[in-house]
Amino acid sequence: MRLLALDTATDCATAALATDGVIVVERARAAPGAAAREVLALVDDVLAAGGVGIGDLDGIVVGTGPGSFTGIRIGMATATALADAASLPLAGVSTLTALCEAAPSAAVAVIDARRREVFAAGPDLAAAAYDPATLAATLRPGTTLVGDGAVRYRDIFAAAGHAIAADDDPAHRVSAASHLRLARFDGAAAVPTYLREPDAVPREGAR
Amino acid sequence: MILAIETSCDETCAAVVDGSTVYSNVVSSQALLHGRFGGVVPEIASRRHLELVSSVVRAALDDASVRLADLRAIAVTAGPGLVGALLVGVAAAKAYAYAAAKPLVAVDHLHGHVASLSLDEEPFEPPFLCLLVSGGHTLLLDVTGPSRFTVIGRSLDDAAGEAFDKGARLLGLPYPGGPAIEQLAADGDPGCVPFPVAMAGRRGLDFSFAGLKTALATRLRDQAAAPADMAASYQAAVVASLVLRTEQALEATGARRLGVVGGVAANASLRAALNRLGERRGVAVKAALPRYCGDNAAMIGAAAAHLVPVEFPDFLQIDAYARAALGVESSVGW
Ligand SMILES: [Zn+2]
Repeated sequence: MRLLALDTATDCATAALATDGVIVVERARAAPGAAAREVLALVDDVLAAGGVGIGDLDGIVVGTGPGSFTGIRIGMATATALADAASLPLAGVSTLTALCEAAPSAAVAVIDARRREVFAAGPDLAAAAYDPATLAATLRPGTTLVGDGAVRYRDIFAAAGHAIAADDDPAHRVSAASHLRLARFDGAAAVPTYLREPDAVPREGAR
Repeated sequence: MILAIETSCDETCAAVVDGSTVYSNVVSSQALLHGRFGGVVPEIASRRHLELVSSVVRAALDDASVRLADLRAIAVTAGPGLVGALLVGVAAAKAYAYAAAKPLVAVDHLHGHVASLSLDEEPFEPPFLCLLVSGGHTLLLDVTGPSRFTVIGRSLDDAAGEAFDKGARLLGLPYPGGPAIEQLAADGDPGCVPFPVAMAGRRGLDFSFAGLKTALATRLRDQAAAPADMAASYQAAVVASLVLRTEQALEATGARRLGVVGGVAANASLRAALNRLGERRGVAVKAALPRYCGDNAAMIGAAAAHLVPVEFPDFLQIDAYARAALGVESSVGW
């Protein structure tokens, strides 16, 4: 059973390959605003490192966000097309859930959502967009936070007594290996998780 | 055979094309989705493209009874257009090309519209003058080769299709405005309400439609004309402005042939007016078949036939762009 996973919802694009539940190789590339465009090169890297081609896979796993809208779409369009072209099943894993998976237990995942907001989720926290200060006040003091949103608003979260590892700690980066451990090929469609509505106002009297 | 993907605006499209033969042409329009906003909302369009792109590609392959392995190349619109929307098609096209081990062709959307003239039993070959009129563009192109053209005139503000959309809005008609105005205008008198011919007194080959929209707003307030007459008069004013500049471009370039492409080229009164212009000047006029006027992927596949496919990994460098590529655009000051 060979599975490929990729995630491009954050500024760190990631891809990984697993054989029979063992992570064979993982690659990541950090590039603010541009990481998602590297994803197919990452996919080629991990397949080459694992000595396999697309046709040798049994399934593909994709991070469904939340994060950058464009990043989510590039990753999901890539994964969907790869799966369609190679007739493989596709499974989606929430990017927030993947962040939690790799973190210490009971950690809350926090992804930068721009516009002075973060997307966050945790054991007792529903996935949603939050104002950092509101989120800091909502969480039980001493909560461990991971993700680029935790790093960006470190001051706010630290002031509320929450624990955040050093900026370069790998716990803050989404890892496609997490997706491989979490994926369930149960036939459910992979659906993008935007957690924010598009900015658009219906015109008056529109039908 | 080429599989082409087009997601530059609000139509998710895929087609299988071989030269001028179209084996399939799937267009999934989002017009209803954007109608309640009175125009295309980029983020909504991009989300919808992602939902649709692989099923549209699958439908195009199935309609053509073709497998990815049978293809010579995969083509995709790289720009100009909404970058977020384009990126969905570009990412999908790269992934299909990678998985199927096929080269990729990046196609300019404007080039695609020009190439729509070749999708016919009697293809219209360059050189010719081309009027490209759509919701996003109003351009006069000097087409010198199958993939070579120069912009010699363009709209300085709204595109002709936008002029129809905004006019429709003022008239209380739904989006997209072109077909709605054309339908209402069918029962109206185009000479009922006088409009200025936009840019009539101005030199050069550029267009302007913002003034017409303002003129329509004033007339709707001040004149008691039937809606059909108002729509017919407004449509006639847009058409007159397009015909005026086209005639000046024919004169300036000495072109003996005129091609008409883009979504607005499906407008029957524009087609008729340009045919009359051709007869008057002894110029051969050819409009794209109506099914290839609006955005579609068949025209992207037709344009791709004249471009060099890029192999992996070089095609990873292909990126979406919002504005017309430099070098393609160059305004000539007549
Ligand atoms: Zn177009």
